Amino acid sequence: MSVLINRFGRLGLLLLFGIGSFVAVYFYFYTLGGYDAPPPTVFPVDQIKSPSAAALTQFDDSPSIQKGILLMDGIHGNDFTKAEMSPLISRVKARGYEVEFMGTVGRFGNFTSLSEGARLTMMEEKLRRADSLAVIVPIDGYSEEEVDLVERFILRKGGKVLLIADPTRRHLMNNLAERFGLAFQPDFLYNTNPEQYDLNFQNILISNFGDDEVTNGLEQISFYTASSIRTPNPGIAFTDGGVHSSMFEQVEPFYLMVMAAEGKLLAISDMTFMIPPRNAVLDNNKLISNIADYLTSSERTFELADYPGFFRDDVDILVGRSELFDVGGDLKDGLAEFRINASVRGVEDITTDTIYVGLYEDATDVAQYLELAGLDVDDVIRTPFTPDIQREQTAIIMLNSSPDRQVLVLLGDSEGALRDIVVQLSRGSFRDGLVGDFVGVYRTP
Amino acid sequence: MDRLSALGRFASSWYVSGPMLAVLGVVIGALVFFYVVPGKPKIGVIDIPFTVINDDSAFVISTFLEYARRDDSIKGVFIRLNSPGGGAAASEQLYFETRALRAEKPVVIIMNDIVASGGYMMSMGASYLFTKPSSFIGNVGVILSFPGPLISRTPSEQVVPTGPFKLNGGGRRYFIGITDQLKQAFATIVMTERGDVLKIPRSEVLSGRIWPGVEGVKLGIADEIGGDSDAINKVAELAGISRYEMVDVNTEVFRNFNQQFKRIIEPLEQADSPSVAGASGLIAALRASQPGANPTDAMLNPVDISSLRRYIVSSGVGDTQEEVLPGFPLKVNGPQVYYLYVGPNQ
Repeated sequence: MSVLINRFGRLGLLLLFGIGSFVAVYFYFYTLGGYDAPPPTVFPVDQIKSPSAAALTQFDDSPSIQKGILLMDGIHGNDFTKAEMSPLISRVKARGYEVEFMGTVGRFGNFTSLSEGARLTMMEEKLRRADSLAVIVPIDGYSEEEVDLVERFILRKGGKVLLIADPTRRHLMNNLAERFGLAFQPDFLYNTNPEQYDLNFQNILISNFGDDEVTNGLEQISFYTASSIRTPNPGIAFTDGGVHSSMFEQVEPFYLMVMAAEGKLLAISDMTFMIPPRNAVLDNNKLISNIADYLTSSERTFELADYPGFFRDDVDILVGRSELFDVGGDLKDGLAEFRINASVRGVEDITTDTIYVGLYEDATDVAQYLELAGLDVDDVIRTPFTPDIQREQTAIIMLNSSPDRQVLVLLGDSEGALRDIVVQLSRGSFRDGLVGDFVGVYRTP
Repeated sequence: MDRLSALGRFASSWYVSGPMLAVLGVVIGALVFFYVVPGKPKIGVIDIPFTVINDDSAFVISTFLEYARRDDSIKGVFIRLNSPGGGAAASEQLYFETRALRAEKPVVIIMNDIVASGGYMMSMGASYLFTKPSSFIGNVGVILSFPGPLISRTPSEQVVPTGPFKLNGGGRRYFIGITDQLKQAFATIVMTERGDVLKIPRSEVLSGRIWPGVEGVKLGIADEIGGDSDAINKVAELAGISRYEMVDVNTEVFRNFNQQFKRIIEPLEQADSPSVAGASGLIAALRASQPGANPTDAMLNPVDISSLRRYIVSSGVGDTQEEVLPGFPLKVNGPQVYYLYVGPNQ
């Protein structure tokens, strides 16, 4: 101690022990080296790119005029509004078609559901007139009988059908689609490459198309959350390697638009590409026009059972003799209930849809039509479908249907028989007496 | 006199003054350590049990972080975090506050149960990330929600805006574009903070995937598997301390808050008509009375009562829009942006 005092002095000794004590305590609690704070990070604002959006394009529609009716399903609680479909509806109307909605619109623009029985009755009735049918995101599934109706509409009557589902909306489309070998998958497609989507990874760009009228002239379209469609045949719009499915998590060609039923059914897995302003992105407007062209190019064939759906224009009523003028009037009134204008005329106009009303004695006036149907009215009525029928207390109805003109022939053995058959036409009960697609024979009081 | 001088000679002799000076030096050295610098080290513990981040929870958590940052005795911070994220701006606030804390002290987060989206964004401000093997972490991305009709507000005779987007801020496509931009910003934060340890590309980060902790560590989403003890040891290691006390920051903050709240609320409860001005004055007085506060601060700085108004004022200024804008013809109803994990499909 004396050495320390001599060496450092008293104050130095105090400092020595003070510092020594501090260091000892410090290293009791701390280790060598302290916290080495990282350099402050700077948020690189310049590196954040502005969103890149697909181009909005101008589109001039050039429709060709057709006549027909597009029936839109609204009786399965379909989850869309008329406003959302306005781009498609307006273009279908621009092509001369009427657009008729099944069902009623609810308070918020959505469609209400009907019971299964009511749906079937309404569909049967409405499809008789329709040339094409659009089924968009049905919340209620189609029953087997309804699917049968649609299948008959397509395969037997040549109607065209559009099916649109969308993964952003609940639907039971597959009840219907599966009949035609299609299945809307419960997935959504996406692309995580910002160069290959429109503003969001779910808004995929599609530029691979099959050769079809619906894809004619398309270079690139944008779908806004689409699902994939499973199909045994290649679709007409499909993805390439950059697009993934949320369900499969693998890359393969996913189909977004598929043609089935020999070109009579078009299935699309996105609805929202039609909704403004997305309809104006890339070639979406062109696609909508192509779909409108597709729907209005139906080669619908009609049968007698479709009465009066096959009349598209005003109808001339020709009576075989003056006593039947009142029967013609009744017929006119009956057609008016279906919003079809009819006029009783004395001379046939071969450019106009015509209903001929006459007694069997007047059959020579329409012999050419009877001959085409294989009917012969003589002492007895001969048809290709039945044994010979005695003329007394009978009436026959025959339809001569061509793409340009419909001629309906009503013949009976008396004015009373014709009146009865006109009533049956109005009520629809005439269908019970059909002996073929175009001929009906009736026993009258 | 002889006795005094003999005592002086005795005291100044080396065998007496030497030990006395040594003991005095030891005492002074210890006092300097404990009461001046650097003091006995503490590790602050912030507990964030399952929390959806919104303005309120972000305010409270920010207060915890600020307390830990300002308390010099806290040399490092350990955060138990369990959050699926929440509001975008609130999550960003927590990221920036955590980052500010990290600039002064090491921050180690242990990711419990789920640390997703905005919760994961907050953890980007930490120095080191622990996870449990079964924790769910990641889910980088943004959710945009349009709460009202998607159709833009229509022109009206009653409302006269000054620009095409004055009412709605932009169309639907514009907001979808913004969302994509925010996603990029989120990814940029992740790449900036963890780009050197991440073993997956930016595109994979942006997929929005959530990973279990065991996979997250493999991919560099977190640093290490471990529990609370491991995390605390890591804080000590980073802070350079070997012996320490633990401080429950949550408890400390709430204790301080309750004391302050009581001092504020009691005079207001006694007043006939509490007013904003009265509350402001009391808060200013409270600030001035805090240790280390400059008495002139309260005079010079405007008092921010907004953060406390929900606790203080029962009339005059309310939380809801209707109270703030009485009679205003429009209800404000803009798109909401979230950094939030909402869970898998059932």
